[in-house]
Amino acid sequence: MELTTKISQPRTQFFLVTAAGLFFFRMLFSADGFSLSFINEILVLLVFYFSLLNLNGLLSQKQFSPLTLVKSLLFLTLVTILLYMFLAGFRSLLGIDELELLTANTLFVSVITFAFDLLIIVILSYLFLVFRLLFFLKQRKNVKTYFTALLVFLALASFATLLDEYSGWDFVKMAFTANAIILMTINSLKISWIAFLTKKEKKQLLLFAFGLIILFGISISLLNSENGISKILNNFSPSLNYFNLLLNIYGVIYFSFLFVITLFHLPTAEAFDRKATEVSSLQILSRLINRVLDFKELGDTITDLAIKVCNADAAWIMLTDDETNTPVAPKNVGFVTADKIQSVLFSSKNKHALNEISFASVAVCNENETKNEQFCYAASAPLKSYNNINGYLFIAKKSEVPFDDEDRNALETFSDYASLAIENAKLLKSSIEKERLERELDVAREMQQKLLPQSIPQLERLDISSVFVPAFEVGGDYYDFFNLPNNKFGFIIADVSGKGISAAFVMAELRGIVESLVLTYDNPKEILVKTNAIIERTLEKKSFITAVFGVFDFTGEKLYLSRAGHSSILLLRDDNIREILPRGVGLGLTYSGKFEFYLEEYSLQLKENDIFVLYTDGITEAKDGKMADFGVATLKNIISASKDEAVDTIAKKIMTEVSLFSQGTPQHDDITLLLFKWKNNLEKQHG
Amino acid sequence: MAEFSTTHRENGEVNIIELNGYLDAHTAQHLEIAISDLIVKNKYKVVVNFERLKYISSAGLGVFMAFIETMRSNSGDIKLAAMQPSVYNIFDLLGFPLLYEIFPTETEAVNKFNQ
Repeated sequence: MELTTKISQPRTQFFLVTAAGLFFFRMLFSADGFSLSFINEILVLLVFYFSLLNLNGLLSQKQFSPLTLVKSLLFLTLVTILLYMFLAGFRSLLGIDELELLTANTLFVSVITFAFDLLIIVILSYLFLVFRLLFFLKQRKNVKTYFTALLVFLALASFATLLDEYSGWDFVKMAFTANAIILMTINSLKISWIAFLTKKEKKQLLLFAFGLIILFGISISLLNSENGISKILNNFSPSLNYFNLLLNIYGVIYFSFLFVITLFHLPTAEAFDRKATEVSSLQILSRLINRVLDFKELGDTITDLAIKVCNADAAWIMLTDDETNTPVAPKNVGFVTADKIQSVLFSSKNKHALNEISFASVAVCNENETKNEQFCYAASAPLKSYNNINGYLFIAKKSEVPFDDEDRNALETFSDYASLAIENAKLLKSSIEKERLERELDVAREMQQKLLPQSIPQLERLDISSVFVPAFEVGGDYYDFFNLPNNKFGFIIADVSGKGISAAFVMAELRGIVESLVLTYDNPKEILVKTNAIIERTLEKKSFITAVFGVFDFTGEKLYLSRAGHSSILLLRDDNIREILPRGVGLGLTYSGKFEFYLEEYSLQLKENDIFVLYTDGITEAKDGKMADFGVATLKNIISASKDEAVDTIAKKIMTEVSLFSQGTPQHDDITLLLFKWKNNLEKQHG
Repeated sequence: MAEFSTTHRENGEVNIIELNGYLDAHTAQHLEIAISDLIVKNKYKVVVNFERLKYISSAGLGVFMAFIETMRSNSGDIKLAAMQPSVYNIFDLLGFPLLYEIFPTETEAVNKFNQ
């Protein structure tokens, strides 16, 4: 905006300066003789040019519809004619005769006539610009040459009036005029914007064009007659007068052609209107495809547009994954009627209806329905995507004229777009759901990670190593260490059945229970029995927990163990590896006395360099490409070959083997590994 | 991914459900429905034949835990039979043999009901 005002300001000044120059020139010289006339014409041309520039600056900032341009032409010609009449009236009112007006003796008369001339210049330049805008409207090819040629010949013909006046060479003027008129005709044929108007607008345009032909005609007759107006203008500038005349002729030619062309366009206007609605509806829909999150909004838009596009009165959608067959986003139709129409369309006679567009005459109009529920014709279109049918789009109309081929095509195109939009909305919904689940699992994993020991206890007589690798779907593995009174050290390893956030919750509960129990108890069996009793409240019927609770007694150099359905405890002593598998059922398998009854209390006298390995089934059930298990045997082999290694090294070795084994297959369960290496009390031995 | 199916037979009062394929978190629902159907019909004596079951996950084990109480409180039971060694190991590790009756053959399981 700032830029344009900056530029247009000096232009206004130029216009005013040249206009003032012209005024003083005319006051001083009476424009007799060829050279003075020529200077006069040049000055007029300059004023005209600057007026053109100023107005162009104003007009080019806006977008005009063809009808507003035509309306402004109507207004301009009307104003011009009124101006002519006003001047004629003004003259007779003041009693100034023609001659006085022409010679302009008094300053007053001079000012008045000059103001009139100046106004004519502005109006003409405006008229010319509007013509130009109309000409270039919706032009696809480069037609600039045609208009420039017209402009050149208009100018040449106008200036040739001087030659005509001073040398009598009227054939030059005639020749240029003839050329100009031919170009006007050619240019008038190049109207390409009529087709884009709606039927209503075309009718309006016919009226306007008719009015304009008459107004331009009146203007021409006023300019041609021997009345004062043409004399004043001719006296001011013969070229301008002639240019005015030519422009009016252009107007008559242009609007005569326009009138005829519009008349020819009228019969096809309706079809064009339809196509236009179709295109704009599809545009709305395709914009929706990428935006809609709200399925209801999408359905509403689809049915709204379907009514418009297919000339229907009612529309609704039925989705196949909804078993109740409830209409979605119904427009102008009740559930009962929609259901009736559906059953007619999908009747046994009409088997193809399920797979393609089908039309039917529905008898609903003959029934005793309320008036606004009477429909004579209905159609259904499947909403397909990748050969799946997501649902059906229904339309129905009240009129007794059936749906025609156009409606059929429209329904076909439209249902394709609609199914795309619905499919897209579905995909979006499921991807949001997936994202939500992923976030939920993130939370579960974080929860689990926080519930596990953050560091491994450093003990003098027990080397400890632990590995924990969570699966993508949290598995519910749990382990912990406890410093117990009386020189004892406890540990637990457990696996909650199930996955995801529910497993993580059970694990959190389990941790709470065990943490509080170890404050009072240090007997593995007792702790597991009490845990089973408490966990009953939390655990679902079909869930269970496997666990091993162990206690190292540093004084007695003994290990106490109880196993509730968990995998075996591996012991490497000297060169022998063995599985320790005390009897016991999983937590949650039974809440009766059987749990306690079957839970074995196992104890073992510890020996120097005893290595204990505990694990969850994430290790033994790790799968390779052929779905074979890693197995306990493999695990035992790795451990037996590592007699003299540190626990951390053994843990690393196991994990390397597991990951090599299961390369390329996703880890389906959590992996937990605990290793202990016992050292005898050296002081005691030596002492 | 994993395929699973069940077939149902009757032997006198005893209902036999045969398992086939992989019983995991995805297919467990299938078996749940099969057993629920029996409960609806007031049939509480069930023998599950594992002969053609290749794999069972913790979710699969859970199905039996979910129904065992109902069966037993209606003077019925779920007896398990004819497991592959790999499948039996899983049940064994968890302590199932201490709580459930597991038989080497289907006939033995059915006979136990008829005693």
